Amino acid sequence: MSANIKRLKARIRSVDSTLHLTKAMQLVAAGKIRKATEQLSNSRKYCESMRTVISALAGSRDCADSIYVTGPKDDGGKTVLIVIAGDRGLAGGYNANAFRLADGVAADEIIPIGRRSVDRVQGHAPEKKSALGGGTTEHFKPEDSKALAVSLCERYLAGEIKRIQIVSTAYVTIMTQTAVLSTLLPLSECVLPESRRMGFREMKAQDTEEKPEGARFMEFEPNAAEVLGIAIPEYLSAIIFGLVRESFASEIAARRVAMDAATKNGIVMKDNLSLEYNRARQGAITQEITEIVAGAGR
Amino acid sequence: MTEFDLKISTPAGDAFSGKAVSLSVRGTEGALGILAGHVPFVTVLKPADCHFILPDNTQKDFACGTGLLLVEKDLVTVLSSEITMK
Repeated sequence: MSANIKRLKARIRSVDSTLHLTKAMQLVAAGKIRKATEQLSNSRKYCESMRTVISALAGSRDCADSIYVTGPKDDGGKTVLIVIAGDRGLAGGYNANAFRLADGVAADEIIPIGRRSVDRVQGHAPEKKSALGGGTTEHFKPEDSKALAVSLCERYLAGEIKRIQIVSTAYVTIMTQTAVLSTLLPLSECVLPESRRMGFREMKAQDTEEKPEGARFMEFEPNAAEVLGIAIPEYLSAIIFGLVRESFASEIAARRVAMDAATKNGIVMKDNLSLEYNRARQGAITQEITEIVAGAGR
Repeated sequence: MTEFDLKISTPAGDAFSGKAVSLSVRGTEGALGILAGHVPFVTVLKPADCHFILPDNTQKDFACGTGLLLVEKDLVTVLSSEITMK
């Protein structure tokens, strides 16, 4: 009996210390979530404006033959996949969902962002790991995404890369986050359908034909192709930064929910163990009294 | 209509959002000024010291890196990852 009490006491202590950890992580996540969602909404506004410009450019006649819209002519380039995951674990299925989605993509080169992502690529496909990327999602700065975007654009223009894709986690609500695969380049696979949906048309000075109703017209200075060439690194940088911010907010939200559930389960487990411990202790005392009484009666 | 909505946006958030009377920036073709009612257009911005005039006639200066200027019907947006308000 006393061995059982000792075992229960050790388990209660162990559950208690785990509870301290999950409670602390829940509080840290709750503290960070406001800032993370604020940063997310700021970067979302910037990304939306960028997407409007690129949609207008991609739909214009001047850019129809651009390498950014159609992709490189020869098919020898690599498919590059950027995988954004968390810096730490204990965030429910957050990291696993992103990795599961990334595993389904036939990529020739992987650029990991976030410590877990770096570890995963190093462990599972070190031959595919790019020298770019790395670092943490929490401290990812606009300068980091700019450097990455410029380097990717240079290689894309040189024909080294034929497609750039990115795995990130979309923040829907604090309870719901979804791993998403999106294409950044060529624009024909991502932005062009959007551009047509938004009804963008390029405006030309010599245009005399009647403008279709509902179409949005835009002028480009000096011309659409030149603007697109300069705008693409800015666009990629904005989208990558925006998705890192979104994934970070998702990670924090997932961790908060996971730690909340873990804390609740821990409390229930501790209560059950305490009940069992008290019963065992009471049983031992009752047995001792019975033995003493029985001994005294002889 | 002499005023327009101006938004100076960076990935970290809006550096300015409000009404303005005019905006002066440097595009690839040289310095340009935007007033209310400008035709919708897009141009690339070059790094330069820029400014805008508020409806109360005060001038606000800002430094802008490479970026984009998006002029829509009622809204003018300056997009750059490097913007410092002075």
